[in-house]
Amino acid sequence: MDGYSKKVKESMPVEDKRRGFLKAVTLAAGGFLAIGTIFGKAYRALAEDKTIIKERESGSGGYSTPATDTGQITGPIKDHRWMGWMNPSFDVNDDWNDWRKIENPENLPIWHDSFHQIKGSRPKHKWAMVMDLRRCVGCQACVVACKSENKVPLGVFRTVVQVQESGHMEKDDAGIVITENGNYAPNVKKSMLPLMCNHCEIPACVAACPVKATFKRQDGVVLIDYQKCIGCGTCIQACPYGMRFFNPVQKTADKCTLCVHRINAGLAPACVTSCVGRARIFGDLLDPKSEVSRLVAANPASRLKIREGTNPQVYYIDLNGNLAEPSNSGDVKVMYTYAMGFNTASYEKLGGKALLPVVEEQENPYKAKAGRNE
Amino acid sequence: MLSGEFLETPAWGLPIVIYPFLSGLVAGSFIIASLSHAFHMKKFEPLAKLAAIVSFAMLLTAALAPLFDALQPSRAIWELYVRDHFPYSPLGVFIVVWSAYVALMLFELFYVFRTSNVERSRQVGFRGRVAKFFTFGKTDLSEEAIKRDKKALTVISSIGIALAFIFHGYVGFLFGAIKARPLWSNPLIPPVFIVSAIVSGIALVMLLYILGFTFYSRKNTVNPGTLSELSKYLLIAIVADLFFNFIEWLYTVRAYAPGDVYEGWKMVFGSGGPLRANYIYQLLFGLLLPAVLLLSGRVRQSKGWGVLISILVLTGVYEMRYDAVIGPQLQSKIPAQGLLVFHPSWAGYNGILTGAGLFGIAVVLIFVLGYLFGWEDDQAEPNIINEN
Repeated sequence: MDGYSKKVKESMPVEDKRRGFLKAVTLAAGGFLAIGTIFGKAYRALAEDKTIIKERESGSGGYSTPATDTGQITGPIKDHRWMGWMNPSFDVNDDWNDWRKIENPENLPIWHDSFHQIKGSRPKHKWAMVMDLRRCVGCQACVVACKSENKVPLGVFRTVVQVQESGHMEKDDAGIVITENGNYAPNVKKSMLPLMCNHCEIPACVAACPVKATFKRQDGVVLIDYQKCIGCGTCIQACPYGMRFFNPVQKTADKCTLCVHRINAGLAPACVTSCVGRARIFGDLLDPKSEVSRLVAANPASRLKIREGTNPQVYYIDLNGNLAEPSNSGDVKVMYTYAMGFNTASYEKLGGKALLPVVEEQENPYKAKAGRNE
Repeated sequence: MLSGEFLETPAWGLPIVIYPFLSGLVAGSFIIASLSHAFHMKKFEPLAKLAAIVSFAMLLTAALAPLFDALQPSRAIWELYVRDHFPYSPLGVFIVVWSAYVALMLFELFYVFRTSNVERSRQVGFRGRVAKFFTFGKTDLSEEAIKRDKKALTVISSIGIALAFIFHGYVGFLFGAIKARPLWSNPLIPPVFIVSAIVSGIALVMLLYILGFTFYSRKNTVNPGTLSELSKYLLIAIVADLFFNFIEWLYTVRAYAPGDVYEGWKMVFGSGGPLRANYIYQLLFGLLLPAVLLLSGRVRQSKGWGVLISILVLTGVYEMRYDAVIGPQLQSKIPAQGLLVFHPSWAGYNGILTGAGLFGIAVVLIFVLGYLFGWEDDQAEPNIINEN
């Protein structure tokens, strides 16, 4: 402080000093809050990294998995951390591929809006999926196949199969449920509902994207360019089917790609190949002889939430409309799903308090470590 | 503690709650600032500079909020300006409206502060240099020049009022445009947002006016006439807000609403719903109680009541934003999932700390702008230390 301003300060009346003090305190508090937030976040991240490294070095933490020298896992994994890849930025050597090339290798035209033009552009294919619910047994093989094919992180799903039960318990002397009030027998019916991205003809999610990161390919597949996505979440809100999510590892929006890497190679999607009852059928709607076209033509096929005007391209045969609505609590007496959201009130009612899943990936366990296996 | 991603997760957290709250303050305080410029209301003249500063500070912070909530903020600015999905995406249009608003505010600030900047540029030190820079060489203080300033301000403010309505109405449309969420997909959302923006903007200017002119001002005191006029406008805005709230509620009654709207409203805001208490607070303490209090003339002129009412209204509007943003996201889109659970975490990119930090940045910006440009009129400026 130079002499001049010191003199001015001394000559100030008491009121001014108080005012100055008030000003300083308010400014300091605001600044502290702002700076504290930024640095606190960074500090927390650093501290977490350190504890994980320490745990790994001492071998005591829940992070380490019991494994033999050959790398085979011999015991239960203590921690439910998802083991994916450290850097999901499309490293070919990392068992992960260059998605920019995979998404559109044949350079098909893509659309971000004005989807009505696609029909006029003479597409060669129009990929669609048929869910034949008469054959679905709710085994979740497709969910597992999708997870392993596409490395979908823990907690989120590109496809789920809801297994719902409707009906009630009836009083029956020979009933297998024995209570103090007598015996009961269940008179219930199970219905399955496989859900996935509907690859809509007029996708609300694609039009809502502010940076044109997501697009619809000419053959009908709706995809995301993961290197352009800013992770704002608008598409997740705009999808009427709830089939988009944040990939917690990649830090972008993510969704079913209809296994685009497999379709490009002439294969069917992983969920279709793995379906035990052939309930999922994939094919080209433009080819009138394809199994998909025949099934849709020969059976009363319905689609989910047609009123949203998105024109979905997943067709359901033998769909119970009551069970396909979000607000169906009146119709379904008992319900559960293997892929139930852990953050729902119904899960809490079952007595579960969600602790899963914490997704913090630090290292790629798939990458061969130096000194191991060699 | 719930953390991580689930089958269905409310993708928009606390920053997105704060985002319409702050942009509401922008629009509301800008309208107050414009009342004196565009409509030449003498009673609002002492508020013009304060409201302009608040509006600009909130405008800068409001855009930070969705940026904090984005998972890839480093890409966002480049992508939004270079590959903007205009005019199909609601957020893509928002960035254009926001940029236009910033440009307009810069013009407004230039003309509002030109006279005082010219005077201040004679001062020594950092503030003088900053003021000198922001005069951009236009140091003409003749009556004609000041008259021209006022004319320019009238034009800018008139455009600005329209832009304020578009700006905040569009923030409402960001939610209203999403047809997948039954409780958002509602044409009433933009007008509700605009009216509650005006309510919160007036309340904030009132709060800062009372606090600032009582504790921080050297030359001015709170003018009961101005306070009373401000309170009257607040009352009118609150009544309009109540009206829209009533209509919104009317369209969720079982007989008049689609099934999913009714179900969602009942699950989230009905008895036993997770946001029932918030909704009651929003209506009872945020709007009804202040409206009843403001009916009395003595309350309208009282500083203490003014502080209390503005704090009630501000928290009430914050609750309204919370209900409007979080509530509809709790209704699951996947069949048979029931109600989603939302607990904001303490830390993390969309945690409570980030929200507090956003408010902190806004407060700091208000103080910095007020320090650099002044926030009250200089009519009674006593001793400017002149170099010569």
